[in-house]
Amino acid sequence: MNAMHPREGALVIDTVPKRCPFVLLGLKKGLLGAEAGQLVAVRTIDPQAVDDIRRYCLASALPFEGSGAVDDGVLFIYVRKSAVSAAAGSP
Amino acid sequence: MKQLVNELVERGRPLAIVAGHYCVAADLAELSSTGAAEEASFVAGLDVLLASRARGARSRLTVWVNDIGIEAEPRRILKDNKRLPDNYLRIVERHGLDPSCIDLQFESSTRNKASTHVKRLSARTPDLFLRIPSDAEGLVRCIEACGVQQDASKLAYVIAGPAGEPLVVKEGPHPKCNMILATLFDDCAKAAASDTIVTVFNSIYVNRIRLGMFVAGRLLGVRASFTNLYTFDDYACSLGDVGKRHPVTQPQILA
Repeated sequence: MNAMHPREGALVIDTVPKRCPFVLLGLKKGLLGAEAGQLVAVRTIDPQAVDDIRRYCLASALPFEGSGAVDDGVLFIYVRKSAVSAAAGSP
Repeated sequence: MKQLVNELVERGRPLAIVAGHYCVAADLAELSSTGAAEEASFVAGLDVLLASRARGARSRLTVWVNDIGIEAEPRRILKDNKRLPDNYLRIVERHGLDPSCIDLQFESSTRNKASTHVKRLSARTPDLFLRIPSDAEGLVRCIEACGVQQDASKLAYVIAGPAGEPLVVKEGPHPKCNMILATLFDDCAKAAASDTIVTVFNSIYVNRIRLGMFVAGRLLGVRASFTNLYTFDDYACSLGDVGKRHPVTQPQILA
């Protein structure tokens, strides 16, 4: 797997070439559109976003599912929408 | 959260409250004062302020305005007017609160002051920072929307972060958001003559707040205790308390 190909079944939110805070805003939008239990993949060029999203997930009780390998400065960050989530945009 | 607020105000000591942060730039409209999480942040901060003042404490609430990314003239007008946005004013009026106990601070001003802090600290204690080329590998930085390109000709001012990571606090002429937030916290604590800072921010800023608090203590000597609340659209809660979110769509006195 490389950064150009996210994990299968993931809802891809492309935030390239934007940076903070658009990456987290993109994730929030992605969570709104995702089904419960679905994986959301945020495509970004902002390496700091990995830690930002990991900590956001901790704060929001959302499962953080890691980040994909960097390829040409692009990476994917994975978050799963909980069945019952406390995060913004949750049902 | 009611218990948390009760604990905060029970001693009757002044609190420095930072809440209602919002962005002015058009491309950040989702984070404007009418954003659900932003308004909820203001309401939650106001709740804490009201509860504290009801106990006789001379607490202050600071609304921090992100005026970065707008033209100079609109920024000048914004700063000259120094007025809460309409939706915040309506909330204040509903509570019959004197708006003079609410301060507005502007991010552009805080940024300038943060830059001055780094220059002063660097001159006084050169060993406080590693000064290394901005394109060095492994540097941890907040990359803001206005984007500073990494450039070997620019110097990064670096300190050891909370986990020992090389944390950039200034890059070229630009202080990073951790240093800017540290400056805000320092200013607010001093303005309220308080040793307790209460922050209520949109939850997307959770990592920024963490680093801002660290830099405030490390570089500016802020020794205040922090209580941090986060808003998830119309809910506010403290970290670790996500399951007990407190709805803040209906302003109320919590204590």
